[in-house]
Parts: sequence; C-alpha cells; structure tokens
Amino acid sequence: MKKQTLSELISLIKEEGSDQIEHWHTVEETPAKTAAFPDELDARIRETLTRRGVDSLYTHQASAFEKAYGQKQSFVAVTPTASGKTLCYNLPVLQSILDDKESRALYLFPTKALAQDQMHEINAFIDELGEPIKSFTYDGDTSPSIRQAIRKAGHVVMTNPDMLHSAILPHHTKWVALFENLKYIVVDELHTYRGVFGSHVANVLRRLKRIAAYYGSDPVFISTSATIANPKELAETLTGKETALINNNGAPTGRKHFVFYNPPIVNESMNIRKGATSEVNRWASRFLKENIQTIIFARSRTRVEVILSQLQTLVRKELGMKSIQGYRGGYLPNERRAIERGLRTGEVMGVVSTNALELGIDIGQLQVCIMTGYPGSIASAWQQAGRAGRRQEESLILLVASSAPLDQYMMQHPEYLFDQNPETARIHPENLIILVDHLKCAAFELPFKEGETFDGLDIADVLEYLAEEQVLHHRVNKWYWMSDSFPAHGISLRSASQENVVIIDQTVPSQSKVIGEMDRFSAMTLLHDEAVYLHQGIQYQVEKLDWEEKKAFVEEVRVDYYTDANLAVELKVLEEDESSVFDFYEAAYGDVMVHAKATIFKKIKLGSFENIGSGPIYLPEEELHTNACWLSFPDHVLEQFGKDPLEQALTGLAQIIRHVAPVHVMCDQSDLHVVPQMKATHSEKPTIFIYDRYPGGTGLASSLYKQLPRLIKECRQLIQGCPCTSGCPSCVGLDTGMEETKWLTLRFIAELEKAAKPEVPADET
Amino acid sequence: MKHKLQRMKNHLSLPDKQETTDKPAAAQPASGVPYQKEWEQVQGFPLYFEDQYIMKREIDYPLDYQHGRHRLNDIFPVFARWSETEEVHPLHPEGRRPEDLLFFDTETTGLSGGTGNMIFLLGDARFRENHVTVTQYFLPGPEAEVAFYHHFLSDVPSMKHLVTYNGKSFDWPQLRTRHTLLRREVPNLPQFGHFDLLHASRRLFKYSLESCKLSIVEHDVLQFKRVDDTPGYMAPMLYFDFLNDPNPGFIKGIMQHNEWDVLSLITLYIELSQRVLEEAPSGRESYEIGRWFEQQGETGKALWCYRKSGAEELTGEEWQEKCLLAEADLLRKEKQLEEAEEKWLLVWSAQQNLAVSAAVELAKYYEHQIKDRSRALKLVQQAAALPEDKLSDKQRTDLDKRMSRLELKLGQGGK
Repeated sequence: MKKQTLSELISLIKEEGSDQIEHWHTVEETPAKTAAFPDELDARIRETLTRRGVDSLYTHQASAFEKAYGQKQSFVAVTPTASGKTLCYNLPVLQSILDDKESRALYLFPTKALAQDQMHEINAFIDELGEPIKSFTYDGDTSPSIRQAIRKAGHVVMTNPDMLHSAILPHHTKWVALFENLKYIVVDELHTYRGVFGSHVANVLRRLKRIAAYYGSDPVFISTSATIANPKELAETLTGKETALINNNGAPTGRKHFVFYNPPIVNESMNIRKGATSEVNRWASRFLKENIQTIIFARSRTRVEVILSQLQTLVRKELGMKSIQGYRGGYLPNERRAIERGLRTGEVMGVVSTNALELGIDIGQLQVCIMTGYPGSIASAWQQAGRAGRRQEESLILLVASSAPLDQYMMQHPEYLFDQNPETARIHPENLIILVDHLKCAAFELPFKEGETFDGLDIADVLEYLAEEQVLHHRVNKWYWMSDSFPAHGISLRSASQENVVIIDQTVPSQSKVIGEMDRFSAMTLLHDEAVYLHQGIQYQVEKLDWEEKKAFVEEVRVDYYTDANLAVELKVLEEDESSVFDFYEAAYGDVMVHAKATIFKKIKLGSFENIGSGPIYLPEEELHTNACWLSFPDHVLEQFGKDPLEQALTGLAQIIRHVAPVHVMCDQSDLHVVPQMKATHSEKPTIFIYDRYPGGTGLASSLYKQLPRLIKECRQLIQGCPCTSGCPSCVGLDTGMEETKWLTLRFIAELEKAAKPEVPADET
Repeated sequence: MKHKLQRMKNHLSLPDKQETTDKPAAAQPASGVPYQKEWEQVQGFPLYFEDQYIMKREIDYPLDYQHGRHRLNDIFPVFARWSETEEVHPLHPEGRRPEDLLFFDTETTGLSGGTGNMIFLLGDARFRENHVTVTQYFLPGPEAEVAFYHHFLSDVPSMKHLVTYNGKSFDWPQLRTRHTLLRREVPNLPQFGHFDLLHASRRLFKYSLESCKLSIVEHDVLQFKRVDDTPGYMAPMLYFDFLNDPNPGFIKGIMQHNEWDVLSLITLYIELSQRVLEEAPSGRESYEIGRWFEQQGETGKALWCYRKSGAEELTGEEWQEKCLLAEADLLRKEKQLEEAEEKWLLVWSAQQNLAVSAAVELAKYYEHQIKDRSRALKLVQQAAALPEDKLSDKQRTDLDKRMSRLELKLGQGGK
C-alpha cells in the first residue's frame, strides 16, 4: 500500500478529528532573508563556507558578525530552533583566532551534552578550515592527562557554569594563557539561566570578569536565547554588559500547522475526558506507520516510558522496535548520542522525550511534534514546537490536552500562546545570600582592594561583615581570604538552598537510590514520617525523615489515600519596599520573616476526599527570611463579605494563584508559597502572602507585584473556564468543603478588578 | 545592609567563629618589627624588601646530630652506596651531592589548594660543609608576599633537587600558584628536580603501617618521637591568631613542627635508600621493592627481590605462590618461557587459590607457544574442576569460554 504523505494525513485529521479540534492555527512559510558575506570575513572562512554550499549568511548571522567582530559589542541573539545560531558565535570567534593565534574564547553551556555537541560541530568546521585551531570541552569527564594541554593551548574551551565556578576560577593561575587572551565569552541557551540558578550564574560571571580584568582582558559576551519576553534585560543583568539585541532571524521556515486537540468527553455528567496518552498514541502510531518522523513530548520520565512501550507495541509490525526510542535524563551519555545520531540519519523514526530535548541538541528537524499536555510555559511550548519543521516543508504540531486546569485553559484560550508575550525570565543577582556566597569565592580568587566594587556593586559592608566573621582579613588596603576552606565546594549553583533533603528510595533494600531532593521548607509538609509522596506518578510512603542528616527514606506503596499536612505559618513583615493602595485592597512587596512549623497531617481518601485518619508531625520550627508580595484588605471588605465567606474566598484565590503565578514568573510551582491569613501579624488585616521559598528571594515577589492586574485577570479566566459547578482541585480547590467557594472567589476577584481598574492601562484589560 | 546581614546570618552558612587560642603573655610591640624581643628569643630576625619585611630563622645542626634512629651524616655512606649502584631507581641521586638536596616543607593557610590558599612558612634543610642548616622564611602578613618570595628565591641557588613529603601534589603546585600571582615582581622560579618521599613510603610501608602520614612513619620507622608537637592541621588557625596579634608565641609551635619535618625528611631519605639498597627487613617489602624495580625496567634486580621475598614464610597468604607468579610474569615478558613454565607449574601443583591463575597462564602458553591444544584443554578442564571456593565467578566464566573455544578448535580437526 502506498504510504500517505504528511499533507494527506493533515487533511485526514481535519476531517476525522474535527469535533476534537479546538483551534487550528497555520503559520505560513517564510522565505530566507540573506546577506552577503561581510567584507572583513576571512577568505579561509569564506572558502570553507562556500565549499559547504553556503554562499551567503542569514541576516541575523550577518548582524551577529558585525556586532561581535566589527564593533566588539556584546549582543544577545534570539534564535528559534534550527536557525543556524552556531554561526552567530563561531564566525567571530574563529575569525579572531585566525587574526591572532593567541586569541582565546570560553563557551558556556548549561549541560555537558550541549558542550559535547558543539565541540563536534566546531571541530568539523575547523577540520575543513585546515588551520591549527584547538577546541576542547572541559568538564568533570575530562581526563586529567589532557587538562594541562587544554589550559595552555585550547583556543576554544567549552564548559559549564558549575565547572567555571568550582574548578576554573578558583585555580585561575593555571589558566593564565586563557585569561590573558580572552576575547569572547559565549553564553548559549541564555534563557535557561533564570531563578536561583541564573542569580548564581550572574555572580559567577562577575567573578569571571574580575579575573579576566586582572589578567588584562575585557571579553565581548555573545549570548543566544530562545524566545522570552526580555532577552536583552536578562543578558544585561546576567553579564553586566551593555548588550545589543539581534532578533532579525533570517532562516526560512516551512508552513506550520499548530493544532489544539482536546480528547473526547467520555462521561458527560462528570466532565471526564479520554486520557491524553491514548490519544497521543493513536495519532503518533498513524504518523509512524507512514514513515513520518515524529517527536512526542511528555512531562515526566514515567510518562515517557509508558508512551514508549505502548507505541513500540502498536507499530511493531510496520517498524522495528529500534526505530522508536525514548530520551530522558537518566539515560547514559552514549545511549543519548546514539539516539541523536539515529534521528539525524533517519534510522530512528520516532522519539519520546521529556523536556531534555528542548535544549539545542542537534537532532535534525522532524516533521511532526506531539505534546502530551501543555508543557507549562510559553517558552517551552515554542521550543518543543520548534523541533518540527524542516526548511521549506510542511510540518504539524499537535497539542493534546490533559484534564489539568492549565491544559483546559489553553484549549479555551489559544490566543494565550499566539498573542501573549512569552514569559519573562527573572534573576536577582543581589540576593544577599547568593551574593555573599560568591563574594567569598571572589575573595578567595583574589584579594579585594579597598574601594573595589563587584562589577559596579558597592560591597564594602559585606566585606567588613565577612572580616568580622573571620573569613576575610583586612590588611593595609586589601581584604584577604583567611580561612581554612575552599568556598566554592560548599556552594552549588543548582540547588535552591544549601541544605536540601535528599529522597532515598529503599523499596529494594540492596539497591537504594536517590530519586530526588526537596528544599527543607517544603519537606516539612511533604516528606514527614508516614507522608505519601508522589514522584512521577508513583506513590511512595516516607518511612523515616532524618531531619539532622536531611534524608528521607521512602518505599513504594499502593494506597488509596494521599496525605495533607498542616503548616502553621507565621509571617512577619520586616520591611515594605513598595505599596499601592486601592479602595478594595492594598498591594505591597518587601522583606518578610517566615516561621513555619508542621503540626499534623491528615490521610485523605482519593476520590471521595474523606478524612480517614491523622497523626502528629514532630519537626522543629523553621525560619526563612525572604521576599514576599501581599494583598491585604481593609475592614470594610470584611464587613461587606462577612467573616466565613471572606475566608473561603481568600482560600480559593490563594489556591488559584498557586497555579497561575509560577507561569508568569517562569518558576517551578514549589518555588512560590501562597498563604492566606485572616489576620496578618503586621496589620491585623485579612491578607494573602505570596513568598519566595528561597532564602533572600530571587526577584519573584517584586516581579509578581508589578504584574498583579494581569495575574488576577488570568485567575478569573481560569476559574470561569473550569467546567465544574462549585470548585474542584483544578481551580479553587476543595479545601473549604463549601459549595459556593467558586462563586465567592469570582465575586471577590470582580471586586479586586473593579478597584484596580483606573490604575491599569487600557491594553491590560 | 549591615542590619540585613545580621538578620540573614542563619542563612549565610559561615563557619563558626573560632575560639581564639590562649594568648601568649602580652608585650608591647616595639617600633619597627612588633614583638622584636620575642622574635629574638626564637632566633628570628627581619629581612626587608622595599617597604615590606619578613622574618627569617636559621638554626645549625652538627653533622652527627641524632634524629631518631639515624644521624644526619648517615647520608654520606648512603650516597656512596648509590654511586656504586648501576641500576636505575627514582631515589638515585645520579651524581648529585648531599649539598645539592633541598629538604623542603611548607605551612599554609588551608589544605585544599586554590588561589586563596597562602603559604606562610617556607622551611628547608641543607647540608653545608660542617653542619646542616634549617632555614625558615615566615610571612608576617599577606601584604608581604613579594618580600617573602624575593628572599626565598634569591637564597635558593638554582639546580637544587627538592626532597619533600607529598610535595609533588601539594607544596610545589601551591608554590607555583603563588608565584604566578607575583610573577612580575619576584625572581623566576628555578627548575627543580624532585624526590617525593610520600610516594616511596607508600610503596614500602602501605602494608605494614596503618597510614603513611609522616608522623606515623616517623614514629614507627624512623623512631623519632616528637615532644609537645603542634599538629599540622592547627597551622591555619594559629596563623590567623597571629595576624590579629603578631606575637610569635602563636606560631612558635608551628615553626618547631616544620623544623622537625625537614629534619625527618633527611633521615627518611637515608632510611628509604638503605632499604632499597640493602636486604629489606620484611618479605613483603622486598616484594614491593621488586615491583618498583620492575617498573624501572630493572629485571635482574626485580627477580632477585621476588626470589628473596618468596623464600620467606608469610602467614595468611599464599605468599610463595604470589612471588612465584610475579617472577613468572616477569620471565614471560623477558621471553624466558621455559623458566616461567616451571614457576607456573609450581603454583599449579600447590592447588591453592592462585592455582587457577597459574593454570590460565599455562593454558595460554601451551596453546599459543607450544601449539598443544589438547594439553591446554586438559589443564583448563582440571582448573574448572577445582572446588567451588577456589574459583571466583569471573574466573569460572573465563574458564568456560576458554574451554569451549579450545573444544571448538580441536573439534574442527586442529588436534
């Protein structure tokens, strides 16, 4: 039988799935926009490109060369997947080395795999160039025997921020050749540096610039980013350099169909839809049987495995098992490389992946991308969608909704994806805890002179404080590191706080393994003794939480209840940084001190939500100093609503903010805690606090404060869009047990919006 | 900001403030060098460079000074013995005289390396015509590093040969790091040869000592007992105290510690050389010395060590068999196959744990050299029939593989 083409299948979906398609969005093809090779471009590079069949550059590549090489100006290039971003940095870097063979460049990638990938790419180009330019990766896997050669002779060193932080900067005297001649620093995948990780990396880059300056160099920063709302701002905060924005992408794109697919309702009365997974499998197997290369994204590792095994069974007859592969964290590097290669050559027809394949690993371009549920952020959605779409060919992106509230919201509001600005990536390098950590490292690397700043930041107070704490020693006119420790070893860039609780699965005693970690604050309510902890869809019971050692020992169980712990939270406002007063409410943000103590937990039966038991939790009180944003309500609101209804509305609103707020500030759901209080300690008024769970805050609170009207509007839309009658876990929650919570919350939000209206510019409403 | 720092203190993960150690009796700092009188009491005198000063100590020891079981001048007969020795060995002075060695040790502000770690005491011992001089350079504060290295590097003639304990991976890289930071202001770093006695001690004493820390080697091997020693790990803390109050009383103990260290390096070099050159005291050590020679390509010397070692009884192990196997392995590499076969057969006939290894070697030899596959197969079959406890899982699988391969070849008419 003749294989069907993709366009035949597209028309088929249109007919067969018409009832299920909520929205069909077509992006028309765009032709390539090119520019001639810049005049300064070295003849050797020109020839190599020509030999590769390239006789011009895309417009953004030409701009990048002009900025970085011509004007020595730092820039950030916003580049969709597969638009040739690599040449944006490789051209100026290689040219600078051809000009002066002493020139050096440092490339930073968020993962080791990306560095490997780029090393192969640049080395292939260098081979064709036929010049003695050396490029290496430098990470934990680098063999000690070649490390010295890399330090002395590597023109291009590719590494990650963690390695820079703990291995390169503290030993900078071994890297004199690099630092004396450092012309370019490449920050790839800029958008991944946000939140706590980004705030750490910004400080690592301050240290890097300080060391470079000590050896007499002032490198140009070249950053590349996926689409986010604020690439220029993020690049400037992260690198501390004035940064130009390049967003004239000139790569051609084929016609793209973006289809919003909502699985059919199988139970009318209870509003239950068919599972997303089975719909994904049904469509994916049809594409695969027609030899159409397809990538399927799923949100968890377990889901990846489930879809993979079902698909392999479905298409066993038509294709071999090997032609469909899974891809996720936990696979070994060489397994991953084999899959990536298979995708490029076409031996692998289908791949099921977590967001691990969102990052710029080269797997070539596929024809179809299927998302099992909304990936959680606009930026992620576009990154995943970017995996489909060969130049000048038609492609299809299928978003299959699950019953999660955000998914259903997307089905009703596709414009959210197409019209809204993508999310803003926030970092807060001045977080005092992060800053102090990196000042210790910086002082270790080189003594601070009196009056010296940290990339413009006045730090005299911190240095004095560290001297009082006997970590630094002030002598003549410098601050010297004077402590018997290696500060970088105690500071991890990736973990949210210094002391996370490690979760250890000991279901099989001889094979106990770490399955995750959690910050101390969340651990109190999620990992206490006897808690049922869900990890990628699997139920575990906590056998023992060793608070001293910060270890939670869990075992896999199958029970029909979940646990819900009560956290007694006391919030003190220490300093109000900014506030705005309306008739109905007052909004503010500032510093808060949180005292929290887990008290008791309840066992709640799945389905019926009955309380089937409870127990005490014995854990010490925790203290957290952080940033918060809060909404408080004056007495007349209490009178207007009445005590109990107001409490219900606050609880409902808090619940919905928990869902919506993380999407706005691009963070994890566990990064923000939302607490409703009927009587706040500082004002005695009913208040909702949204606080950053990272000590010192990461800028989430002030960012939320600035976009409160938009946040509230989306809370309203989500509740309105929810098909339940009186509130469900997908919207305002069931905590209150009251029927009218949903409507009370909506009425409450309506008042909020009415009150704020004069303050909101017209385009926000 | 200050206020905020105090509030956030609990989140800042700083080390607990150290308890200050007992203060030496207070004295008024004299003008110029503070605590000059106290420095004089410990034979310390200042050296100036530009606007900085450092402190230097020099202590002479007579050549017949007894340090543990050796006198310092025991080094001369050892050098004489080396000069008669043809074999290549890492401890061989190769034409150098004792005066060419710089017995060297440092004290630092931290133990983990990196640019924030500073050397504050450079100590060395050198042979002079009539005595041994211990010289120490002390850094009175981090601002005086240029003077510190200026004087040290100007004093040390080039072409010295360093003798250290773990200096290859600690003291020397640390010195290079500091030098790189000051490279435009101080003399160049000379090229040094290097005997790292930790490596040598590990080879010889790994099996007989609980650890190869210098203090343990001193105590158990060199028979040197320190009285009231200040342990090395206290050096950073005592130095920080000194920075807050520059009374030499704080670091007197560390200077004494360092002095003992460099003297012990002399007697340790003597001791190690004697053991390598003469008949070693224990069978195990002789075996390890043999392996050391083997790695240098000194086959004759290595075989001699294995034979000597195997002649001794060591309980708890198949000692003789182990030595025989080492000997046979070396003979095989030297293509003395018949001699090797003889040793393997001896190990095989003992039918102990090492018998399997011998059988495998024999089978390889019969198959590939003698070209007698049935003999090889027979041996493999016999080895596979050994009792369970004489065979590891891996050995069993290997034997099975070898057996089926041999059977296959024999079956194909390759008899």
